[in-house]
Amino acid sequence: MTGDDRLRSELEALERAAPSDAAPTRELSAAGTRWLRTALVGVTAVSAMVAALLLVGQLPNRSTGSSTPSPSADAGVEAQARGGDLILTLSSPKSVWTTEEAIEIVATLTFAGSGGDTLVFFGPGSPFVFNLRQVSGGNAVLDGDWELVCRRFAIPRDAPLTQALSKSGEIQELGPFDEAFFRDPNLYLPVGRWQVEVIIPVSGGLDCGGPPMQTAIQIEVVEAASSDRPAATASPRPPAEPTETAAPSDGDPASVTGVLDGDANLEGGCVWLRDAAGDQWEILWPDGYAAEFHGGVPVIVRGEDVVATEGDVVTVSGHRPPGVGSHCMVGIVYEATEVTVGSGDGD
Amino acid sequence: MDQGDFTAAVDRHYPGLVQRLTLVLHDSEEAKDVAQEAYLRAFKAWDRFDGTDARAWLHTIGLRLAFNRLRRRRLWDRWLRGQRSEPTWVVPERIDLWRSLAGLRPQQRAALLLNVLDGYTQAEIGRMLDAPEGTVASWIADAKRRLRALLDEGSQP
Repeated sequence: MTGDDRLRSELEALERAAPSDAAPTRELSAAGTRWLRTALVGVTAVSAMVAALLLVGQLPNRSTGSSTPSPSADAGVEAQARGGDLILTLSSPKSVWTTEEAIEIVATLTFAGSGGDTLVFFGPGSPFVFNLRQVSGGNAVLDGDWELVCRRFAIPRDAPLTQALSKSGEIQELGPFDEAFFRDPNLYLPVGRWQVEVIIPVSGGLDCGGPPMQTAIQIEVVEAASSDRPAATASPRPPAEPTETAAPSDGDPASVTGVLDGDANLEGGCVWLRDAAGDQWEILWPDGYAAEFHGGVPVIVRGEDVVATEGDVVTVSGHRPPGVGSHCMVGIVYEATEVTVGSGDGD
Repeated sequence: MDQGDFTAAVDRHYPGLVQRLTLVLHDSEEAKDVAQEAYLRAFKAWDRFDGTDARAWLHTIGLRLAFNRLRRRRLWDRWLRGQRSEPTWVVPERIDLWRSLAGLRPQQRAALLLNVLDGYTQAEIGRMLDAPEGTVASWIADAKRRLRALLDEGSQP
């Protein structure tokens, strides 16, 4: 038996032994699909995680209560939905924003019952799921994601839950809601009319099966009158990359020089180069090279040889690949074609 | 195509998807969650399926969801400092293989399994995982080298 055969055999045995389900536990229905969604909490929602709220519900029959959008050019826009003793409010202080403004949208869930506390059901994360739909000027759609976990949570009558719009959903590597969009702590949108929806899969019962509440507002995003930065067009890219992945002044440099660093505890190990400006670069190493951890220390190997270790200055030439997301999310993805260990001045 | 078509084409691939995701996510319960999510998303997108390879299609959806889940897990792991225990279903003689898989990046794990167990080419895997073919090749070569070394080590008298 060859090495490859044995590897295949062992992996097959391992996979076969893994537990499984014979079939999905959720029932499908043709109309709306009875489903629960997992939340991909955007980076901006990390602070919201501290509040530790996320919930579960069902997608069908989303419109519980009445939504009454009331746009006003100067006074902002607000919509409410009422379901039982709960009032869900979505508001924005302005109905017209420019491409340069960080858009402010806040959702509030208020218990308006006459008794004591009311119960809703949350998991870790945020209770509010936000969707974005471009209704004119394009057709971009971002469906926020929900967490599968169901936990009970109480809202006191005098303490409504409030949360600014947090980004969640699937990263669209070639779409407008790309990684940079999710990394930005603010919400910038390109020109167009946008519907912003908030959904709370809330239930007053004793399980997570209750119907969700939702409401929506529409805002207009217009070109800024004057701009110190490129106006948003096809992509709602923020004015500047966030600190964690700040793009260098040259967006796609011919080479990158940085100090080798890494963290063995991230995603099975993540290695990056930190350049003089402090930017971190996640390198897709060329054939023959690989990033590894030896005793917890990040190293670069070529074949069997260690060619660089933590703290070494490494220069790579190549380019930023289009449409490639970073799994580690610690830096800018850069596909290297050549590797030089040293000062980068020559060799 | 209706729900019956969907279940006929996809249901038989579901148990295998859960098992594959268990190896990629290194968590069988999370794998079940993601597989279910993938199944439901596949159902929602059923009218866009080209009808060629339901298994590859379902696995692609599942793996991409898994990577998204892992991004989120990293945030939670930092927050909770959680430690994941080793599963009871892994037999002792394969616990080192399980641990070695954990030492690979999740996309590398997925690429390895798609190549070694399913026979997909590097170009096909690149399209499934949205990664350059050369990168996939590097992932697979590196993963094979590490795991073969482990197996060779284990077979030493």
